Amino acid sequence: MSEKKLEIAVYGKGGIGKSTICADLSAALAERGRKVLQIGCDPKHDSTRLLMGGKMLPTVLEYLRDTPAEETKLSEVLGKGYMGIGCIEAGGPKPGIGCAGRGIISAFEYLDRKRVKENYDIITYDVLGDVVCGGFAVPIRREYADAIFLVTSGEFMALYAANNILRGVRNFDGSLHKRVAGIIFNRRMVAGEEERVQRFAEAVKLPICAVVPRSDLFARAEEEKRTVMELNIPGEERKVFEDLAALVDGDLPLYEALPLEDEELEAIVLEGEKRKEKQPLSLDALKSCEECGLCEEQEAESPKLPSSRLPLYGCAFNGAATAAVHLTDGIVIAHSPKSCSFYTWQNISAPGRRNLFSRGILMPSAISPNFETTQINDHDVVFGAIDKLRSAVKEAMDKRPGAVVVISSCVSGIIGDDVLSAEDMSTDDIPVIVIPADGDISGDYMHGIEMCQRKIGERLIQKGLPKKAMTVNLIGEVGVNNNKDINYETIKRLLGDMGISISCRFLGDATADEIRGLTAAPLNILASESPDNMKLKAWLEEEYGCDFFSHCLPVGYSATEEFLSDIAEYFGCSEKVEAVLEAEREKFFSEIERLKPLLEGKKVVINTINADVDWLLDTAEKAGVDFAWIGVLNYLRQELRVTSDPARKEKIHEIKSRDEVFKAIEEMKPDLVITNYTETLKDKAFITDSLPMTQKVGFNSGIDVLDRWALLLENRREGEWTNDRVYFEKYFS
Amino acid sequence: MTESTLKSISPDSITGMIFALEGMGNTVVLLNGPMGCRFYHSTTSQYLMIRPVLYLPDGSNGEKAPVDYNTLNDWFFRQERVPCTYLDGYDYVYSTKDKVSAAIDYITANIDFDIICIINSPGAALIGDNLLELAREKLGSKRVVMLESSGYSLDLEYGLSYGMLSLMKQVGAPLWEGKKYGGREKERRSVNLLGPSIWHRYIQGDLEELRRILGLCDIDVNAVPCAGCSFEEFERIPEADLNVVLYPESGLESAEYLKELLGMPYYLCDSLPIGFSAAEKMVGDICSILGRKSDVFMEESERARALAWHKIRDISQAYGKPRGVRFFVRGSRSLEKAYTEFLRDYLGMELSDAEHAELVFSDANVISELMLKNKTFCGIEVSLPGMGYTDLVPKTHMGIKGSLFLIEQVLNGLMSRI
Repeated sequence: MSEKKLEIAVYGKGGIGKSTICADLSAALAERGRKVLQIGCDPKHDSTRLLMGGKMLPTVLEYLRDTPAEETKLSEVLGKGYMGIGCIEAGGPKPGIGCAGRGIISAFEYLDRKRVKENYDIITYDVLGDVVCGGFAVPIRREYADAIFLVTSGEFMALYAANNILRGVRNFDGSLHKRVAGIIFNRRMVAGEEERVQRFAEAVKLPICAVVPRSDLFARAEEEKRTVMELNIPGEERKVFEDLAALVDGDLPLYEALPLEDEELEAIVLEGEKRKEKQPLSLDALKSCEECGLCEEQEAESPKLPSSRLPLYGCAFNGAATAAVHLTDGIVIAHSPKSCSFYTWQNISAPGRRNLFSRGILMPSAISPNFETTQINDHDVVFGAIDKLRSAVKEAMDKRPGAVVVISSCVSGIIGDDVLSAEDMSTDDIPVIVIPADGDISGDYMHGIEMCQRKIGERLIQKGLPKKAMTVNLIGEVGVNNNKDINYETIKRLLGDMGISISCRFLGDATADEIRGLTAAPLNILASESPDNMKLKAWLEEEYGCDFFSHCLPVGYSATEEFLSDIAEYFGCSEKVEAVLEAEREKFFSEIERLKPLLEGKKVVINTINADVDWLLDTAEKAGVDFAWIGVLNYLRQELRVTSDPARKEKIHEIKSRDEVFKAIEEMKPDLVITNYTETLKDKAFITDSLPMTQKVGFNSGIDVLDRWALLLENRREGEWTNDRVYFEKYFS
Repeated sequence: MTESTLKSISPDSITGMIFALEGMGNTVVLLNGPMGCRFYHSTTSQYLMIRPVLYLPDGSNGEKAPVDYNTLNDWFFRQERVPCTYLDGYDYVYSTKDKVSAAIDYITANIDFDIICIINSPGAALIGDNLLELAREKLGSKRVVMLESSGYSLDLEYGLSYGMLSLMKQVGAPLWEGKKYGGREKERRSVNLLGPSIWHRYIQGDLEELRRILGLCDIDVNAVPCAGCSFEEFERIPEADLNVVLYPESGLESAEYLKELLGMPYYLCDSLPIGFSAAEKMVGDICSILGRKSDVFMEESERARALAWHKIRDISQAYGKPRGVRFFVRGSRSLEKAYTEFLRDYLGMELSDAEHAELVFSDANVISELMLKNKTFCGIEVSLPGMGYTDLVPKTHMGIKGSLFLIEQVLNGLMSRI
C-alpha cells in the first residue's frame, strides 16, 4: 500500500454513472487501508449516498446558507461512510436559478478554511462534467486534482463531454503538465460503443484504465443503498474497482491532455477517421494557406483581443442609480452586493457632503438619497437572490412611494436573476420600474443614465396632456455637478421674475407625478447640449411630441440675455423681460467697468478641451482682454464647439501635445495663460490659471472668473510653496 | 430616529481588501473588475496616504526614473493607484485571463514594485478563472498576493483582515522561511502593530502618537503591516518582540497566524487606546510583558489628566456638562467600544440613539444625514468618509495627545446645546 497523498477528480457527463463509479473507487481504496474523503461536486448532491447507506447529507452550501459564519462546524457536513470514508456534498442551487459553478467555489473555500483534507490521504472529487464554467473546473486546478479520470460511455454526447473536460485541463496545464490518468469506460451495451471509445482513447492518447461492465449488480447495490464493493460479491464488477484502486494506489501513470477539435471529434468518433498529427507548417503550406483564405475566416471568428474593445468608463448600474435617486418620492433598490451600492452612495453623497461643508448648502437627494440595497451575499450568488429582491420591493411598496426603481448589478446579471419579473409587483398607483443595467454588462455610466431616463420616462410620462400656460420643463440636468442646485435656483429666479414656472425637472429632482405631467408644459429647456442630452431631446421629441427651446441653460451675459428675450417672446411676456434685463445689465456693466482698468490690453493664451467657452471670451473681451491664441484638445475628434464667433474661430488651433502650447506661449508672450498644465510651466513671466470645471448659469458666470484674473495679475504672487516640489521629491521618494 | 433609520451604506469586504494591500509601500494592487469598481478605490487611496514615488524598472546607471502618471494610460487611466482590467460583459463569458495577462505584462514593464496583488471583483469571482496559475506563470519569482474572491457584502473589517492574512501567507511565509521570532538580546524592545489600516480616519496621527508613547518606554514600533508599511519593514516583522493587536476584527487572525508560523506572542488590547485609562492600560500591559518601565509615560499622562480636569471643570461648573450629555457612536466594533467606554466612564456621558444625541461620533455621511433632519448636535468625525476637511497636521484620538484632542472636541461640541 502506498502512503502518498493523492487527489483524484472523476469527471463525466451527468447520468453517465460517475457517482457510482467514484463511490466504488473510494470504497475500493478504503478497503486497501487508505483514508479516503469523497467530495460530491454536483448540485444533485447524491454522490456519497451509497457510501452513506442511503443517507442524504446536508450540503455544504445549504448549511452555509442557514448557519451564521461564526457558528459553522465541519462535522455538520462531513459524514462518515463505508469503511470510515469521509463524505461531503458541495450541493448547489435549484435548476434555473443562482450559479452552481460559484457554489462549487464557495464550498471549496469553506472546506479549505476548515482544513478538511488534513485527515485524509486520498481525496476523490465526483464532478459534473457537462458544465464548462470556471466553478466546475475548480477541482481540476492544480492545487486540487493530481490525477483526473474521464468517465464515459460510447455515446457521442458522453465522449463530447469527456473531450470538453480535456479542453479544460489543457487550459490549465498547457503542454507543461501531465495530470490525466485515463478513461473509465462505463458500458451501456449500445452498438459500436467499444469501437467509439477505443477510437477516442487512441485519438487523445489516453489509456482505458477500467471497463465497467453492464450488470444488474449495480441496480441491486442501488436498491440496497450500498456500493458494489460493499456488497462484497466476488466477480468482474468488484474486480474492476479493485484493479482500478490498485492502479491509483500504485505508480499511476499520467498523461498530457490532448483534446480534439469538435469536427475532429465527430469525424473520429462517429466516422472512424484517424486523427491527423499536427505538423509545423512549411513555407509551401503557408503559401497555399494564404491562397485558400480559410485562415482569414478563422481569424474573423476568433475572440476579440482585450485592446479591441474600448474601456467602459464607470458602469451602467452606477449611472442609472445616480439618475434614479432624483425621483424624489421614489425608492431606488440596488440589487447588488453592498460594495456596488456603497460606490454609488459615495458618488451621490460626495457633492452633498462637500456643499454642506464648504457652502452650508443642504442637498437632500445627495445627502440622504432614497437608495437601498439588497446586499447580495455569498449564499445569494449560489442560490439566486430573486426572492430577496421581491421582499425588498414589497417592503419598499409598503412605504407608499411614488414608484419603486430596481437596478441590477453585474453579479445579479451573471447569476441570472430574473429581475424584470419584479415589474409584475406593480400596482395601479405604485409602478415598479426595473432597469436591467447588470453592472457594466449593458454599458458604461452614461449608458446607465440613458437607460434610467428612458425606463422611467416610458413608465411614467403621459402622452398628449392639455398644455399648462407659462410652464417649462428642465431636461437633462443629471450628473455629478456641484453647481447643479445653484444653477437651478438661478434659472428658477430669472424665469420666475417673468411669471414662468418650472413644472418638471427630468431627471433632476422630480416626483413621479411631476414626471407623469411632463407633456403638459408647452416648452422644454435642455440643460446642456451634451451628446447624451441631444439623444434624450430627440427621444422626447419623437415619443412624446415635446417642443424644445432653441437655447439650453445660458452661461454668461450674452447667452443669458438672449435666452430670456427669446423665452419671453415665446410666452408672449416681452414686457416683463425688459425690467429683468435692465436690472441685470446695470449690475453687469458696472462690474465690467470696475475690471477694465485691471484687464484691458492683457494678452491671454487659452488651452481648453473642446467645450463652449464663448461665455468667458465674450465677457473678457468686454473688459478689454486680448485673446491671442486658443488651443483646443479635441480628443474625440468632434466638430469644434469652443466658439461660434467667426473672429474668434480664426484664433483656434487644434493641438495634439503640450509642446504646441509651450511654443505658442513663447511666441505670444502672454500676460496670462489658462491651462491645466500649470505645474509644468516653469520660469515664466506670465500668470497661469485653470478653467473652472463646471460653470454657473446666468449673467455673471464670466465676471467671477475675470475677478480672479484681475487679482492674480495685480499681485502676481504664485506663492512660495510652488518652489517646494524639490522637497517632496527629496523626502517622499 | 434610531440608528437603524440611518440610511447611508458602508463599504464592504472588497474595499477592506484593497485598502489593506494599498497600505503596503511600493505595491501595485490590480483590480480584476469593471471600471465602476475602481474609481472609488483609486481616488480614495491616493487621498488617504502620501506615497513614495513609483519608479520605472531597470534604470540606467543604477538610477531609476520616476513614473510619469500622465503617460500611464493603459490599465491605470492616469490615476496612479489601483489599476484595473475594466471588465465588460464579454469577459464574464469568455474569461478575464487575457486582460489580466496583458495588465500584468504592462505593469511589470512599466513599474518597479515590491509586491503585486491581484483582486477579483465580485463579478469576476463568479466565473472561476484560475488566476493564481496565471500569476505564477507570468510573474515567476515575483511576490504575488492573489485574492480570488473579494466576498459579497461581507464586512469591511473582514476584508482588511483577509487582505493582511493573505499577504502574510502568500508573501510573508516564503520570505520568513527559516526565521524564528526573537532569539537575540536587544537594547530596545520592539512591537508590531496589527489591525490599523489606511482606511482609518486619523491613521497617520494614530501611528505617530503610538510610536511616541511607546518610545517613552523604550519600545520601538517595528512594523505596522498594511498601514503605510514598507516592504523592508514587512520583511523585518519576525524581529519584533511582540505583536500588539489593536483592532481584533482586522488584526487578530494575522496575529494568530504569526504565532503559529513563527512562534510570535501577541497582546490583544482590551480596547483601543482612546482615552487616558485605555492608553495607560495598553502601555502598562506591554511594558509589563516586555520588562520595560512606563514611568515617563505615566507622568505625561497624569499631566494631561490634570490639564483636562481643569478645562472640564470650567465647563462643568458653568453648565453641569459633560455629565449626562447624550452621545451616539457609529464605527467599527473596536471604535464603538473604545469611544463609548471613554465618553461614558471618563466624561460621565450617556449613550443614546442618533435622534437624541448631542454629540455624534461617526462618519460624515451620518453627520450630514442628521443635519438634513435639522437635529441640533455636534458631529465629530471618527471614521471615513470625512466631510471634506483637509488635514495637514496629523490628528489622533489615541494615546495622550489624542485623548486631549478628543476632550477638546467634546468640550467645544457641547456648545451646540448650551
